[in-house]
Amino acid sequence: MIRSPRSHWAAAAATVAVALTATACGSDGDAGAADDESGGSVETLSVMSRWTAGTPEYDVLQSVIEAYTEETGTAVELIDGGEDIDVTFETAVAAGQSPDVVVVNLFDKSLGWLDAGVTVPVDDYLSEWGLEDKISEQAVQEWRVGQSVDGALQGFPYSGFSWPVWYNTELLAAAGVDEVPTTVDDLLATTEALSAAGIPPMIVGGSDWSGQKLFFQIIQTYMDTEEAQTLFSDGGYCDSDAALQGIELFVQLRDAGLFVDNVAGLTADDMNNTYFSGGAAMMPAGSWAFAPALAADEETGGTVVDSTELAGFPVPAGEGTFDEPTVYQGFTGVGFMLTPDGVAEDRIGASRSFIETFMQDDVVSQFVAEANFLTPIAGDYADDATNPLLEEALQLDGVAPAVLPDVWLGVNSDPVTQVSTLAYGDADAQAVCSGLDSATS
Amino acid sequence: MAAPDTAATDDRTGTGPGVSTDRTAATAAAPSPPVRTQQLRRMNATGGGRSLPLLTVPALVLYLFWTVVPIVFVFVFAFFDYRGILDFVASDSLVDADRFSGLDNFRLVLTDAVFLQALRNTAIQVGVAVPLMLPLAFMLGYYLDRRPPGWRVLSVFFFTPGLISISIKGTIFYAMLSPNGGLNGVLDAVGLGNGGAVDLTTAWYADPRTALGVIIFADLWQGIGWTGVLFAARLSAVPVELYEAAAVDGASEWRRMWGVAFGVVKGYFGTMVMLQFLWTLFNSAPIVYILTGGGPGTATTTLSFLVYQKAFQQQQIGYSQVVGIVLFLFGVAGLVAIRRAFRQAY
Repeated sequence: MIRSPRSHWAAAAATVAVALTATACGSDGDAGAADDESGGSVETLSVMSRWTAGTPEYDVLQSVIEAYTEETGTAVELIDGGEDIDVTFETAVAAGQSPDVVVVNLFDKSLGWLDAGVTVPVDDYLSEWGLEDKISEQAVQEWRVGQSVDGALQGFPYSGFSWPVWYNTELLAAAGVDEVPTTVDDLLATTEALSAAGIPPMIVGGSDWSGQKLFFQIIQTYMDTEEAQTLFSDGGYCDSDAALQGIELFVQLRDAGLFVDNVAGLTADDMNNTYFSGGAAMMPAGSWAFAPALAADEETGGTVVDSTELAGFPVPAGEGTFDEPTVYQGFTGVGFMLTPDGVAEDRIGASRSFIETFMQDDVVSQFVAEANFLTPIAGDYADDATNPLLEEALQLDGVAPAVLPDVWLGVNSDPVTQVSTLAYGDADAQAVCSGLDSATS
Repeated sequence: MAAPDTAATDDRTGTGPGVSTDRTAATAAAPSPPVRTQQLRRMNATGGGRSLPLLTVPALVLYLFWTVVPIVFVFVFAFFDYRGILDFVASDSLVDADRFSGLDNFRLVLTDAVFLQALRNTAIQVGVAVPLMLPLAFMLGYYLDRRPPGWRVLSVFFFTPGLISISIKGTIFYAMLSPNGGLNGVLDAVGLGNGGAVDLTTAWYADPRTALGVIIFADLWQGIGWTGVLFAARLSAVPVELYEAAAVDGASEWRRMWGVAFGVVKGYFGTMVMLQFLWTLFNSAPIVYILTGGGPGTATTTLSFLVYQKAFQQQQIGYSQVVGIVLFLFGVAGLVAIRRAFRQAY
């Protein structure tokens, strides 16, 4: 879900070379676990994480790992997979250096790892380790293949997200708008008022994943859940009235000046920086931006957090699928996947104790307090949600959940982002639906 | 024609007496290519070159393993349906009969609108970048060869883009061409931005009207200076007397550049055309990836990028290999055409 628009070129090239070499040499993919082969006890557990150094999540992760090592005597080799963890992980696997545990979001290539046999289903471990009551049923469901009750469980969900629209009420008030818009008509009026006041209305990263998500949030306005999932997965946009209506709504909003100038060339970083500095009145951003928003205010003495009201994206009044403004909410943020190495007979114990450590109340509390997690883990962590934005997100009501496209787009996510970038330019609805069909086929 | 003025030549090159004369003599004495080939064959036949093949064995082994074998597999994988890199890892062998798909990948590629768009983009990129780059680079090289004031500094300056990594190049262009970047800032400052009489600002690499132009401009930015310095190095071996003789005959600077200098280094010019053609054709993927991701839509999807995208993003290995074959064939055809067009006339 959250990823850099650019992955490492060299890593990609290395993947081919390594894959060819490793396969040609008849590797079975389980090299790199010297302890496995020796049959000795596990001294080191290898963990690859998408939480990168310098983020609140990484800081908490490190402190938890230190405590885990102190308690169990098992060292953890922490590999910073970063935002390109899918490439990093596949390169490692191709080289026969699979980690034991992968801390990753359910997105793009990671959706195919279970099928490729490089991670294992964790259904049995969920019950054996007594985690069934610990992790919310909804989160478990979202981590099943195809989000189906019969689908295999791809990992243990650990973090959720809320992805509302942020409204800077000070800027809205400066334009004479007293309430955040809830309908498309309200939004159009708000856009007009903001533009008249010289305030850039909504900013989003039109060239990357952040723009892609908002684009899909808008175009599903007239789709029901099943149709949205089918279209995102298999295409057929140009043959769907609901899809065409949604795309036309997007085009209408774009042409009405909803987005800042040249939005197609902006990134999620541009979006955050601009909104945090009061340069735009609205942005769609997930809960992972709560901590950076607070930090930005503390650094600059700004009041953006206090001025922000979280709400959904407006919907057409009396028509469309949703009665209330939409948000993305879910638990496909980050979870723990296990690899075949990680469940080897002499390593499964270490993998289990590692994951159980993260399920402890004090650890979950730490993630909620310091990394502003929305957690699927059972327990009362409301008091730990001290960030005002997180508090607000936990009490967000009057919103309807939109279908997050990630799971359904699969490996087509990048080509589809190319099309959403086109849509943020001046492409018409027909060009956009054709592009989506082509990218999804 | 005037007699060669050795003293004047020495002053110009600054290499001291005799050097230019030697270079002139060496150039004059150089045998034509067919004669040289005959001489070398005679030398090999008489034993002078019998140990030569042994010296090439290490290079041949490396070439065989890292170039020939992978190229062969490009052709092989085009007939198979591997779903991503991990599919290789899961296979017991590189060529899995269960994944044989015959000509399906070829049919898919040749009827795919994305491939056809990539073909068009590539043709435009190569068709614009190479014909613009080489003449401009040659003129720059000619200028540097005339040793204008500060030519050494200029040479370093023009060569520098060739020393910059693609990532840095992407960063530079991003900083210049992003919506809040340098170019839009300048346009705003001179009244050609938002609120001005004419708004020329745009999201340069995210606007379908300009995105491919940005990629081509990035090629030219890096290629002209670098290739120009290489031309200057080659032109420094052209006898000055030829220019002087042409000047005496009343040839303009333009005529001396294209009628004299170009004629002497035409074979070298052809070599540079070949190299730039190949670099542009095969190596556009990284800069496309960094700057535009192939978009908006498919506006900057080139064949080179499509190979990457299908293999690494969409896990369609067979499709990507078919595109790789198309690229390979274009490359070969282009090389043959360029070689014929720029064959040294003497």
